[in-house]
Amino acid sequence: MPFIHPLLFWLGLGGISIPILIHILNKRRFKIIEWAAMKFLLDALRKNRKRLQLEELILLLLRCLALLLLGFALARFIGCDSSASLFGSQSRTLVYLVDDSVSMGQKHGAKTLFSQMREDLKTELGKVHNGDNAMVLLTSRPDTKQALLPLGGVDDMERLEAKINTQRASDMRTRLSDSVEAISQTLLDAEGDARLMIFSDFRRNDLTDKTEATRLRDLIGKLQAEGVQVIVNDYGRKAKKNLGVESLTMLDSYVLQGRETRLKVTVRNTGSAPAINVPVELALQYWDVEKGKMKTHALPVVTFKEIGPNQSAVREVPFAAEVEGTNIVSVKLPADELPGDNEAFLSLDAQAATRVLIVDGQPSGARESDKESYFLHTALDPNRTAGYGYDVSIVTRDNLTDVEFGDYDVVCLLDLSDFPIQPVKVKDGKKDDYASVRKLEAFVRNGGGLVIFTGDHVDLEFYNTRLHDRGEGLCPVTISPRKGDPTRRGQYVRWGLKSIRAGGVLDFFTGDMSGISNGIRFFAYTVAQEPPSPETPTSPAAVVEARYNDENQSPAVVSKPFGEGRVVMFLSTASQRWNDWPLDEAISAKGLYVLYMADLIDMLRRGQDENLNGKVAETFTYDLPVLMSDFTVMFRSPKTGSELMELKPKDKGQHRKQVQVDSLRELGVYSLSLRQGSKIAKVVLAARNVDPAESDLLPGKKAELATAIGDTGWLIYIDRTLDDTDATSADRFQRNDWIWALLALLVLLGVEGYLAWRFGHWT
Amino acid sequence: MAQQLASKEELHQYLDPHVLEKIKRLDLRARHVVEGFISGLHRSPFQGFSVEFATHREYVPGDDIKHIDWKVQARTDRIYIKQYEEETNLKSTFLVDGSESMRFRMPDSDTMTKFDYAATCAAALAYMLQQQQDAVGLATFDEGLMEYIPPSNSPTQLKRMVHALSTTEQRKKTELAPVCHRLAEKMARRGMVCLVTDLFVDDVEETILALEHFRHAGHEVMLLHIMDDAELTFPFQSVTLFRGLEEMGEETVEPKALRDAYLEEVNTFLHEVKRRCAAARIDYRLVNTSEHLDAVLSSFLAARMAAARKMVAKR
Repeated sequence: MPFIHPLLFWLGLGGISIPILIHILNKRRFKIIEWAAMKFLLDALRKNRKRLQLEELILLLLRCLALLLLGFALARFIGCDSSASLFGSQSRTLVYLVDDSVSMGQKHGAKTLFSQMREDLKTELGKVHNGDNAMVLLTSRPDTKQALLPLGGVDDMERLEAKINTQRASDMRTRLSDSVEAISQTLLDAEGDARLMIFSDFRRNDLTDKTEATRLRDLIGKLQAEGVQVIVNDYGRKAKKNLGVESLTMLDSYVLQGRETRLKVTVRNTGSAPAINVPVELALQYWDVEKGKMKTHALPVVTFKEIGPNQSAVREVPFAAEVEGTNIVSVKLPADELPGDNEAFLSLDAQAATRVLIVDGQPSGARESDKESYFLHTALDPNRTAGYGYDVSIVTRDNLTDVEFGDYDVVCLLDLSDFPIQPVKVKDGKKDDYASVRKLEAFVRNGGGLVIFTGDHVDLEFYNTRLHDRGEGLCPVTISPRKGDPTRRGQYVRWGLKSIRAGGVLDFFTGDMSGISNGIRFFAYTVAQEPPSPETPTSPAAVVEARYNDENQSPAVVSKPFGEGRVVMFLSTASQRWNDWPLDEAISAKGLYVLYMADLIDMLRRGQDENLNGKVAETFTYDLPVLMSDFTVMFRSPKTGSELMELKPKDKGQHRKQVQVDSLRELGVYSLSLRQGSKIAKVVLAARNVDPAESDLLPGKKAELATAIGDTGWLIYIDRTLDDTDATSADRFQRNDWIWALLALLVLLGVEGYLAWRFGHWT
Repeated sequence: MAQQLASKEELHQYLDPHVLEKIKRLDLRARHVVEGFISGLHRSPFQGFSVEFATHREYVPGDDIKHIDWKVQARTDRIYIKQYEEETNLKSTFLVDGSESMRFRMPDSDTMTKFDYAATCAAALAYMLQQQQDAVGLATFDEGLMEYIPPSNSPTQLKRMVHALSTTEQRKKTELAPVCHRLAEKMARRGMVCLVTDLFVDDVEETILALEHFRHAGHEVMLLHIMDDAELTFPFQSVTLFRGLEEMGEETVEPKALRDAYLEEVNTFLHEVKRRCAAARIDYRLVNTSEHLDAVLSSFLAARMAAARKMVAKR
């Protein structure tokens, strides 16, 4: 029924009996007169009885109608586009949009906002008439196909209530606009009256996001323009005591097994009172390969002394990953009003070594040291056992087409002439002859590091066209033929000391180490053009990190950010061919090559796989290692007792496979196990955390709601946080249909009065 | 059985000195020929009876000026009428309705019941007639003749009549026609019959026919139709249970809704009665009990005297 206080309407309806009773009682409450002229009275009555009865009936009906209208007015009639729907004779379409985001799990007394809303929803569903079409949609699943109650009649209320009772506030963020969009077409297509009832806490956070608010306002405006009645039920309450894990991140970009790593834990106090001595429990979880199960290792408790209201506190936590592979660090805060934001998880992929791929432009020679990759390989992994934390792989130009760059952290191109031609179709029917270059670009764009050294084999045209790609490519600058003669060791240039940029990739050579680079002599170098100064949004400008001290101050080292990764180009060789850096001939430069190259690789190496961590509802993808591409992939969600689910990997081509899980809807740790038969070969642990914005429980309330989604005057706002609903019901309305009922009542009373006077029934 | 005389209280009940004072100068003359046995104001059918001048009487408005004794006027400076010898006395009989409907009066009002009003009216007129040396008699009735006092000009006649009126109980229905027929048979000599009633009878037609019986017997008939103001205006506001007198049942009515219809019924009735009385040459006067009796009688008597003069003039 379209009333805020249906009870009062029913009282009004019951009040119809009042005039009937008054009519009957009036007949009993009278004066008694002994009358002589009875004959005339009886004759008059006999002749006028039908007229009198008709007049009485008309007045009775008018008075009953007046009480019915009074009931409308008192019950705060909130709109009904046709009278038929009032009495349920016409089918209505009723959509109940239920916000089951994290914030709805806020406790209030013994209940949560969600459980309070659950009761209200059941009450509303109890009012659905036979023949109505109703739908209940959770905002965490903004898809009508996943509706809690698909569009249709409410035939089995008991079953529906049982289903509603099992619902809890989810770990998802509020997705009001997505949900309203999902049900818009259903409402617009509805025959007869259509109503959208939104149950949410309408937090300020949700309403002040301009994109979200604009979208929501447009959607609701469109619905209302088409005659859909929109009722919002606001459950938002300010929190007194609430702490949430705002973020849990790594301070280092990578984690090596057994080496100390630093975490950053940020806790935010969104309550109204300061939080004192907040203990934060930390734990490390990993898959114990030997025992075949998850192992949890508690870390020392961290205590925050005081966190003021609406303030965040940060703490660095050192720890070491115990096993290779993914480790999970979990954080847990003490219980408060909103339990949903008290936990957070961080997945760390600890590796035994940094994986470096060297593409050697001169892979052969009489001696081992004739290989272009020899010195760099030796600097990073002298024993060829990855014992120094670098696992180096070397490929030649011809093998490039088979390389999956994603298996490495840093790629180094040493005097590489060009890439093998491997045509591939790209967008708009265009063709790219260098599929491997595209893959390498994707690798760097996704965070990988790329180091380019030049040399005699470099194909200038390839570098200046495809690899430079007019400033959009990987090569930071265009280059010209070599300058200098590597065979004449008497003539050389150095890096100009003042040209080395502090804070850049050669920061190693600044500060206390300033001047040490003078020990390196460059007998020959590739001439590079100055990088263009104006930067474009798609391609940030290349930066000259150091210049040669020749007459032209030619760029010696150039770097360029590329996506999330970075490219560093040395305009000389990585071997001793054009310089004496790897040989450490100068005393002052002794060991510089080894130290610097390790430092550079650490600087450029790809960080953690971002897929491993994310917010709830974000997709998780995982590329299976080449050697495990045929393994069975099993997946388990963090829900206690959840079943293992087998995933079917998608073929990415070139013998690579990828699995994807679209909706990780719960907070916690997801495990993905790669199995060969019954043996678990590898376990990958991914973490999904609640959106920290859900922690802020500050309610938007009516004014901000009106600003955000538009105060059209027809939007009905019901504040569900009010305990005494009757006393405050006057504030609940924006729609004033009841005023029409009141006006109609006054008109009706006027008509009734006139007719009663005219008929002579006015007493 | 000897008829009792009225006590002093009874006389005061129906003979209001104020009323009597007002009407004492008026005459109630028979318009038609009546049969008396002593000289009086009225034309006698008997030739040679009391043909000489009898007495003087003070002039009252309406008297024919040709009877003024100008000599007396010249001597005394007062106007007297010469009364002639052909005048005889009048036998008048008052028929007073003593049915249950006559005891109605509007509750909480200071008016008299219709019966009291009728009785007062009859007593006053009887007093006046007696003062004119006319013989007066009384008959009270309800569904039958209750009491009959034959006309007489005895000095105690008035007291007998008043006593009879004061002891009349209004309890039964009205059956006027049989009473009229019976009295018409009883009254051998022509005289005047004054019916004082509310005419709440089952059949008005039959009642008028009965009154015409008097007319046929040579009596002059006057009808004083007594109605309460409430019966004429139906002033009730709230829902009222009307409990009918004379066994007429009861009915709960919203008076405002029915007023127009009721008044229409009453007016139709009054109009019909008036029309029938005129046709039967019955002198009809509707009397509202809220009107002062002296005013009612004065205007009634004056009207009669004026009419009587017109008749004489015609002759």
